[in-house]
Amino acid sequence: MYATLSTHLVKLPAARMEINPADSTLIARVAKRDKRALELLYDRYAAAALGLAMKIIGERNVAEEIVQEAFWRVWKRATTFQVGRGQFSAWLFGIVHNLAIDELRRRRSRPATMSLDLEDDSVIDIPDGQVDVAGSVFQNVQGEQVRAALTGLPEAQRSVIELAYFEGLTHQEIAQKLGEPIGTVHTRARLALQKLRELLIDLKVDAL
Amino acid sequence: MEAHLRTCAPCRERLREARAVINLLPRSVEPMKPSPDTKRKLMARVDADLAKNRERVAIAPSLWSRLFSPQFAYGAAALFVAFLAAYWFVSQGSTQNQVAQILSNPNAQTRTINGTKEMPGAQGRLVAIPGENRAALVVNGLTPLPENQTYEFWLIKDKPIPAGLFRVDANGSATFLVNSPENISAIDKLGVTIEQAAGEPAPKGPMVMAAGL
Repeated sequence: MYATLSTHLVKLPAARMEINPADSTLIARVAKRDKRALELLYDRYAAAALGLAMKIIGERNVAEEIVQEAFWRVWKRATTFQVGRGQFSAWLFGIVHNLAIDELRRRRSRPATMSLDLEDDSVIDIPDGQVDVAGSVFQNVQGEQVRAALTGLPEAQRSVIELAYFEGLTHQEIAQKLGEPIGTVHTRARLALQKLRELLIDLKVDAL
Repeated sequence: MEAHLRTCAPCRERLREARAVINLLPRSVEPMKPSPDTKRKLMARVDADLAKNRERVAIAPSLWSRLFSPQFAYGAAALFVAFLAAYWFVSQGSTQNQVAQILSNPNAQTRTINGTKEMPGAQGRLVAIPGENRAALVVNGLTPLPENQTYEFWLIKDKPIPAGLFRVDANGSATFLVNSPENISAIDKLGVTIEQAAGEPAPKGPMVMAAGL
């Protein structure tokens, strides 16, 4: 039926092709309320964000809510993101991390009432200092490299890093959990970060 | 510590390095593909947000400018115009609210509609609540048209049924309410064509989006 309609074709400029636009381009478009740009960022990072949320919270439906909420906050707060002061991926993962850790702490303090507080804006205004690094490595670094570096840490050091980052424990809480003096935890954390950095450099992970 | 960091470059550098490492930790976990429902819910929230803002930005200023413009500031004529403007405001608001309700309805069903070779970058979806005759069409990636042309949406069952004219914003996006003469679920196919500004009772122009054809 419509085949004949093409004979009436109006000359139009070709639709703009979106071939792998940079994160900085996309987030600038999101700030102008371009939902297609948000969709592209979602397609690019949702799987990594869900992996992170799952690692922290361990419950699929809650992790999916966290991912949805994180991208919603990206949509609502894109105008506050300053391209020159940090990378989008670090900002996004910071939001996901904070949402997941907040939920984890909420569960620890109130285990009977488990729900994601979607109205809590506490993670929106992450200080720039917390997101001003990592650079474009998130685009380029293979996850295997980072996993290999973590695996390369001595067990005692790795557990301190994992308890701090993925379980949101303070050094004091880690010391209690491991039954170690807090000074030992401080030392292990410092050595772990130092060793991790060296391992990542050895693995040719740049931007460190 | 912050005071110390302000004056100690080596410590600032060590902190920067530590943060760089910490920011890499999310990459150490295995990615997991989210369910399509997560994306659908997110985009529904975004669509509802856009619809709400269009209402606030596009409709409210127009009403106030009508109410307070000098030519309408006299006696009964002004009151009459104010009445008409208020009626228009309410009806437009109602339309936007209906779109927002559809898009945020958890039972809504979505059909995708894609750009044809005439406009391959176009994407869209028709969101409908089962059993209802109304739906919301959400499109993006369409090229803005000159004033003398419009996009026309077609519901196709046996023959094309004209289902509304729309224009897109500068980003190529549009969201509008579709009122169907019959249950949306019974519609087989969808299409979007480019027509003259007044629209056509049957499609004449090039088809730029299609589903099920």
